[in-house]
Order: sequence, then structure tokens, then C-alpha cells
Amino acid sequence: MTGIAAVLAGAMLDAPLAALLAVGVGLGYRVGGRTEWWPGTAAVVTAAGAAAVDVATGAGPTALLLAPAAAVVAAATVVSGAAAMARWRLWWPEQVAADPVGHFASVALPLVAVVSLVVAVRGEGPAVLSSGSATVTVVGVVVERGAVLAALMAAAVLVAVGLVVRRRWWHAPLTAALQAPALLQRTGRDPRLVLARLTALSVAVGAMAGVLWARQGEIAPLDMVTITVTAAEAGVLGGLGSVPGAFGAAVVLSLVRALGDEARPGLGALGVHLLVIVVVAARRGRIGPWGAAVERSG
Amino acid sequence: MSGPAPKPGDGAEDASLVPLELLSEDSSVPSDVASQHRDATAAGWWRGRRVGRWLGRWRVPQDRRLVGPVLAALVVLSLPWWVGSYGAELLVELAVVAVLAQWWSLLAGAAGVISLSGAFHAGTGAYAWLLLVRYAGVPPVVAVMGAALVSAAVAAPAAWALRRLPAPWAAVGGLVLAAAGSAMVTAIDGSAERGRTVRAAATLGPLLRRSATIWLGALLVVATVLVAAAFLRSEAGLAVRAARDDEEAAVALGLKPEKPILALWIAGAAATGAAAGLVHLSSGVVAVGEAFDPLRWVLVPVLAALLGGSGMVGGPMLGAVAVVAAERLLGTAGGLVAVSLSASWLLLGRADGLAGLVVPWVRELLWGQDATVREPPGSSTGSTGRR
Repeated sequence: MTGIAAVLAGAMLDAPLAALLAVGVGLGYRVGGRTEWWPGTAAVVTAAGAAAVDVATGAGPTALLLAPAAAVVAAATVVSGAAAMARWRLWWPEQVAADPVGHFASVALPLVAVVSLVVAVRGEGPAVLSSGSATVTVVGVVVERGAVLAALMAAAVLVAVGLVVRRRWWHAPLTAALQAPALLQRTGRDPRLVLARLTALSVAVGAMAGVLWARQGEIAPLDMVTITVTAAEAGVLGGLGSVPGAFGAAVVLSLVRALGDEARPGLGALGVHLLVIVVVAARRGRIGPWGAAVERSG
Repeated sequence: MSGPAPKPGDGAEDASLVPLELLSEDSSVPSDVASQHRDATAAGWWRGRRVGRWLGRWRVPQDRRLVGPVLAALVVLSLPWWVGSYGAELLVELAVVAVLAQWWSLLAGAAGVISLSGAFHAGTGAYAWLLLVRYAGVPPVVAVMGAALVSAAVAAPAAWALRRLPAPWAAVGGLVLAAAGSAMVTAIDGSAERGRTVRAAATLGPLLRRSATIWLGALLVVATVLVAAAFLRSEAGLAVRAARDDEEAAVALGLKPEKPILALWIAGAAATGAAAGLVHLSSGVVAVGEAFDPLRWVLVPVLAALLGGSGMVGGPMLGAVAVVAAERLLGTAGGLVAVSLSASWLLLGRADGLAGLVVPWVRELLWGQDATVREPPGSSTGSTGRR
């Protein structure tokens, strides 16, 4: 019984991280159907950075979260700032939006370059973070304090992002930039700058998720694919672009994964993938239970 | 040789739009305009050099154009006897990357469908090949075709599921399918990660196995190139490209792009499955990590197509050569950094990638054809680039 409780607790603590990634990827989808895939790269970059700091200083995962909590924000700011600048100055969205290959290239090429650079610098193998952080007892279950802190930080970021995307000053110009950029330009605002803002927030969320993800103990540069798939699954199941939907889906998927792996190693991942495939095959239109609600509420 | 000749006195800017043959054969055109035209192109500059002039004398007459393909076929047939195991491995890798890049390029460049499901098709093909050889007793070489058929059969329902998702999510859906396939194999077969050795492939002998892999690889490349060229020139290819540029207008004109796109998707899956069978025929071992590896089956071919220029037949081939060379010279990570950065730099300036630079140059050098940069079949922006 305690074993199952620990598994469930672990799943609940993992869920906000997956939700963060899903939100980062799907942030622009709600207002204009735009999907931003750079958060996955940002997650890998900051996770690798966190691992490097951990290995160099021997700070330990918990210290990584506590003492340099500002470092998490700093990493997110730097990475998201760089991504936003790249999006604004190099890859002009209105020019690549009409061309699927150009749009894909604008996402994929920087992503591959960054991840390959990380691999070239520090190798393909995973960085194993130091372990042995202090534990706390939550509702009779012993869990790592670092895991609780990471989940709480992720939940706080989720709430903050959920509040920001409801504000008119955030979503009105973004909707205009995605749906009618010429109109927005006539009001004196630069649509590219507005979209760069979306990139900045998306990537910042992904970067934070990366640092928190690294706390789990092991991160390899090529985990980018796993991270992107995780984000996409939570996003699809929860309703594309929905913050509460992503959180709910992440909880469901984490539970399925944890219970499946408890039954037989490897079964959890299979269960998660099959669940998502079944949902996609069974539904039409906006995907996911929360997606339909978002659509109804406009 | 049709079309109006330029009027004397036109500027160099106008002259650069006129085919070279017109300029050189029409005596009314001042020679300085013709030379300005030549100088305005990379090929013209090249032909001005000494080596270029020497090479420029060597032209293939119209009635002897079969000589090249026949010579190439003879060279390919003789390859197993004079390339070693490293050379054979390199050629198979080149063929696989070229084939996968060509299919990705057709789907993305011509149809506007971004697909990342290569790892899923490859994994399906690899395990179909393993099952056919190991449990059904099918000869390893024949099983490569079986792998292609199984991949195609599985791709059809996968396409049905992926079509329910919006475009970018459908692309990632391909990665989800690959992850699901990998998890399924791992859950069923406990030793999938270590890999299963196929003894029947080892019993072929080194020369026979090398011959089979090289010839099958060459066959796959030729078939892919022929199908791609035929598709881009067909009515279905036109319909698909029209729908990519403006779906509403295409539907209003009565065009139906869904079936050609589905056919492309399934044919691409079959080619990927065959390529996976080929790779495992060469190695004789099927491991789940390699069979569903997104780096090998998705990332590298996509980079080759983007670098070479998507939507054209020559682009992915050039891209494949560049990517494989970069990987071999700089290592996997270094090669990917070099290729992604150079593709980014190239695509910022021009939409047709490496092919837009090289193909007109080679065409004029060999056959003296018009060197003015042409609109690539799969590109709406053409060689003028995005800026």
C-alpha cells in the first residue's frame, strides 16, 4: 500500500514538469494556432547547464533549486531572450508562416544546432546529477525535498502563466499578430516583436522546466525528442493551448506511466503512448476533453 | 529556342533573364550583353576560368545521353568487387539518407506536409524484416521487399489517426508513434535493447551480402528518383502543389489533393521500411534503439532535404552527400552542427537550398543549358529567397 502511495506521490510530483513543457509548446495555439517547439530545446539547454553547475560545484539538486533559485530565472531569461531575439531578427514569422518548410526549418535548424553543440561539447551520454537530497514526509509518504520543491515551483509558474495568458494586454496583440499581422502593423505595432514576446515566454517556461527536469537525476542532450514527445502528449490530451488542460493531462499521463512501470518495467511508457493514440483516433476537432471546453467558451 | 530576342541596348539586368542560347546565337545581340549575361551567373564566372574553359569543351551530345546512365550502372554493378566493407557501409548510408530525404522533401516541399514519422516506418520495417527472416524463413534479400510492404500497410491507419491533428502536432505525432512502437517492442521482447542477431544474413557471405546491399540501395535510389521526378511532373503533383499554395482555391478548382498525399505518405513509408531492411541486412543485428532511432531516421534525412533544397529531385541527393560527408569528417555531433548552421545560413538567403546554387551550374557546365536560376518545382518563393 505504501509502495503504491509512493508511486502515486512520485507521479503527482512529476506531473507539473510535463505540464510546464506542454504549456510552453502550446502557448500560442490558443490564440492563433501557433505552435512553438523551441521550449524543448530550451529545456535541454538549461538542464545540461544545471547538470554542469551541479557537477562543477557539487551543489546537489536541492541546492540547485534553493540557493540559486535566481539562477533558474536567470537561465530562463537568458535562453528565452536569445530565442526571442533570434525569432525577431533572423526568422521573420510572417515570411515563413505561409511556407511550411520554411516554418519548420526555422524551428528545426536552431534546435538541431543547439542540441548538437551540447553533444559536441559534453558528449552524448547522460549527465548524472548528485543525489541524496533530504527527504520530507508528505501524507505518510517519504519523498525527496527537491522533488517537492520542483513540483511547487512548476505549479507556481503554471499558475502565473495561466494568469498572464488571460490578460487582455497579452492575448489581444498576440491574436492580432497571428491572425491579422497587417492590421496590427497599421496600428503602429510590430507583429514580429509581439510574436518574439510569445517565443520569449514559451522558451522561458521550457527553460524552467529543463532545470526542474534535471533535478530528476539524469539528462542527455538527445532527451530533446523525449521531452518534446512528452510535451506534445500532454498538450494533445489536455487540449491544445489549454493551461489547466495540460496540467490535468500531465497528471493522468504521469499516473498511467507510474502505475504501468510498477506493474512491469517499460509498460508505463507504452500505456501513455497508447492512451494518447487512442484519444487522437477517437476524437475529432479540438483534441482533448478540455480542448472542447475551451472552444465552447471561446 | 522560342521566345522573343532581347532588343539591342537592353541593360545587363534584362539580359540576365534571357536564356544563354538566345544570346549566343542571335547575332543582333551585342557580344557585351551576352558576356554580361555569362558573368552574371556563377557558371558564367566559372567558364571564364582556365579550368572551366577546358571542362566546357566537354559536352554530352543530345543523342548520347544514355551513355552516362549506362556507365553509371556498370560502375554500380562492379562496386562490390572493389569497395571494402567500409565503402559498402558508406554507400548504404548514403543511399538510405538520400532515399529518406527525397521522400521527406516530396511530402514537405511539394505537398506541404511535414512528417517526422520516419523512425516509426523504419522501426516497423526493421522488425518486419526480422520476423520474416527469422520466423517465416524468407530469404534476407527478399525480406527487404516484405519490410517495405509491411511498413506501407501499417502506414495507412497511422495516416488516418495523424490526420486528425493540426499540422505541427501531426508531425510530432509521428515521433509519438515511433516512441509507442519502441515501447511496444521493448515490452514484448526483453532482449530488444541488446538486439537480435539474424544468422541467415550472416550466412550470405561477405561478397554476396555486400553486393545485395549495394545493388538494393542503388535500386532504391533510382526508383525513388524516378518516382519523384514523375510525380512532380504529373497532374497529381500539380494538384498537390496547388493545394499547398492555396488549399481553398485548389478545392474550388475541383482538385483533390488528399489521395495523392496519402499515396505519397504510404510510398514514403514503404521506401523507409525497405531502407530499414537494407540497413539491417547489412548489419545483421536488429536492436530496438537503432530501429526506432529518431536521429538516424528523421533528423539526418530532414537536414539533408533542408540543406539540399526540398521539393526538387536533385536537392535531397546533394543534401545527402553533404550530410554524410560532414558526419564522416566531423563526427555525428560536429557534422550536425555544421550542416544545421550552413542550412540556416543558406535558407535565410534562398529557398531552394544547395540545389539552387549547384544544379544550374552543373547543367550549364555539362550541357550548356540556360543557366538562369529556375523556379524549383516545390518552391513557391523560388530562388529569390525569403528576404
